[in-house]
Amino acid sequence: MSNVTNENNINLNTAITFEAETFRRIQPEEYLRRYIQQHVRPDGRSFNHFRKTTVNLSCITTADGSSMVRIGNTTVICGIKAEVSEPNVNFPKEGYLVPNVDLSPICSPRFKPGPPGEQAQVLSENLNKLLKNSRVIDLETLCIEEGKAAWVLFADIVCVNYDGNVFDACVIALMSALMNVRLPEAVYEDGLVKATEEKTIILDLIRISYSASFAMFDGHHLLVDPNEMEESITKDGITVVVDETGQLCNIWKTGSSCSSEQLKTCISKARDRYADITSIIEKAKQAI
Amino acid sequence: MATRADKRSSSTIRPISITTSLLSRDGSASFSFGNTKVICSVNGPAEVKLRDEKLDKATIDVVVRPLVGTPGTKDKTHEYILRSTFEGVIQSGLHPRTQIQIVSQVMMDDGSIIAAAINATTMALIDAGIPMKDIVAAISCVISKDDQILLDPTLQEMENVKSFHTFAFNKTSSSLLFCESLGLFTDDQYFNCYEICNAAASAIFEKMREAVTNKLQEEYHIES
Amino acid sequence: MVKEFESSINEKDFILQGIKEGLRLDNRDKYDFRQIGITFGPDYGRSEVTLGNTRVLAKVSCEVTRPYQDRPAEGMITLNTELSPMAFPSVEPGRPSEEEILVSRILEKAIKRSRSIDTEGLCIVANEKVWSIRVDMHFLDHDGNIIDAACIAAISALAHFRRPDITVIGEEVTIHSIEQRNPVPLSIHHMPICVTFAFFENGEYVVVDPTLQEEQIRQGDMTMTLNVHKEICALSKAGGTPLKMETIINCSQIATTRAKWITEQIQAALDAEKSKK
Repeated sequence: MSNVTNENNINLNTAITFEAETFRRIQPEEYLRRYIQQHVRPDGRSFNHFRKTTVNLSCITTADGSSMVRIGNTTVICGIKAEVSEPNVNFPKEGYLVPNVDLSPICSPRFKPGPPGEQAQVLSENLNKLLKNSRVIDLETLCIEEGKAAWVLFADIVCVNYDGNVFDACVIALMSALMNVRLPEAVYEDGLVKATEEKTIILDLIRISYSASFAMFDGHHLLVDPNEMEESITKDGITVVVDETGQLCNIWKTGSSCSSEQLKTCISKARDRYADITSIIEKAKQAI
Repeated sequence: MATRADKRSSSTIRPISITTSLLSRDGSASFSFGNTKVICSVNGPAEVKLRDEKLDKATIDVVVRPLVGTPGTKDKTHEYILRSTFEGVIQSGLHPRTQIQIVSQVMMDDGSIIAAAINATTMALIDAGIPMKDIVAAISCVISKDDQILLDPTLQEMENVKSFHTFAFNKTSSSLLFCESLGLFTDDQYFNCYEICNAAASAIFEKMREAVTNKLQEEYHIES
Repeated sequence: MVKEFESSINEKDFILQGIKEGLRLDNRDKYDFRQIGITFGPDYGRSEVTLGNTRVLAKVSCEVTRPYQDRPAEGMITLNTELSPMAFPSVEPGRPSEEEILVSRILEKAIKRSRSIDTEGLCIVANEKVWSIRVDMHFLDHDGNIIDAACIAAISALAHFRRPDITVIGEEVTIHSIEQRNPVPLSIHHMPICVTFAFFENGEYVVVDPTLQEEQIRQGDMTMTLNVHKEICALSKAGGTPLKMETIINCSQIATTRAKWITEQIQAALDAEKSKK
């Protein structure tokens, strides 16, 4: 985008001086570049530093499982509601798990009210693909009676504050909320499903996977856990999802070109991040 | 050696066919891998709606239409993939305050649909004469239950696989532009797929080149 | 939003003058259709129709669903005619334009309301399971008269379509895949054909199958839907210049011969496809 070389820019700067805030608004890309050249990011983090991540479990009492995740200022809440429904004709032994991401105007002025926009739909679709393809949960365990009744888990994820890297937050929120789900024990008798709250069951998760997202600036600076400003400028994103054994579950990369070395770096960082998130969630479990 | 339903070897692409300028738009192309076919049209640079106008570059609008049913989240995701892949490739800075509209219509889906859509878009953009920094080719592969890498899978081969990968590469540096990998896989498997798909992409570039050459020869009556 | 391409005043005058003298840009007679191309396959229920430069793809698909409560023994037919910006650059996806509503209404009347498809034959178990047939029409290129082209595409795709065979034992329904058992064609009562007329100079001049440029200067239009048995299934004339009674009678006679000709074309294409297999 900027055909102006750095030298020219410096000359320009000596002629006219700006407040840093003005500079950020009129030349956001150049503003970020100046920071990156100093090996630091505008919010004071180094390239490899994730923002502070916190997880709260069981924060919505009316839901069957819930969690709130904060990554820096990005906040998402996931509530899982279980309902009983008839299984799909083609998969009579399976229940459903339906993730849905909502990016409402409350989290950022860039989103408009009304039906979900493109970004929300892409997030929902990617979460759904992740759940399905890396087999996080065996849908057959959600079946109550073959062909008659099955659990439908609606995982509604609401973003409350949008400050970049919402996908990571959504994955952590979804996984931790799934761990938090307590389903009443249900039996199918003569066309009716009877559920007892006295005895609850925990979901049997086959695999727990977490993601790590990266932004690439100027083709070779890899910024870990980008915030909203970094995300909107760089536009190039890499997301790597790994499970507890370090196996890869999902790699999603968009934008301009990157090399396989950079991908390897991302993968190894995603594995380190996995261990951090696990310990954060363990702490959250003890806090309930 | 693998035996596939259509008797291909594990690293063979289905027959590719490319047709350009088939619609009355600024640019259009159809791209098919065997029975998978996508038709793509490009309009622009043309007038842009005021709220989409960008002062320093062209707005790139992508519409993906499914063969059956109304567009859903899957098609929105494909729109996002196409737009983010081509935004960096199209020299949109040359046409500020205009719109370049890309419409991609699935004609037949027999697996590897997103790769076909990316390739069709590249050809339609070339046909429309939109200035680009580079051209893009995409290809999919799967890792089957018995750990074999099958290039350019059909719909049937995409069922019950360990993982599914789609890669898009650019021509000049053959580096990765878009990647979506789903399922469960190891680093080695991933980079094996990467290498195989990278090699396959250059075969697709060759086909694209052929299509453009043929078209120009026809238009200007050049004897080869 | 991309604006629709408009002809210049000179072009418009030229075309109009030609029509007055009985001449058209593509050297057609005023009552002639452009060349029709119909291709099927490779799978069942797919037909791509070209009418000159107008190009429409129709794809028929089916699934088993629960019937409507008020019609427990009837299957369903759904038509999807969403206009795509591929053929109509001015279309905004998700927001139906006036043209789109008009097109979908005419096609709905032509194919569904004319009872061309036997819906009772689509019933599997009354009140429980019926076939739901869906026709998706995709407009790929627009050079006028998309209604006639879409109608040909839809009806030929329906005639080409085969649904999986089923066995019903009591309440148990088994669906046999296409590989297991020969699939079954739909029962089609008759083939409705749309014939569109464009009127100029207060209805004094009439042409059949208008091109996009002719559509831009027409003062009125009328679509007649009829079948080979000389029955009119639907007639729609939404506004435009008022017409004399004689004109309509005259048009219906032209439409009968054109409908017969088009039906023959579809039949020939279907036969050619059959002999290929």
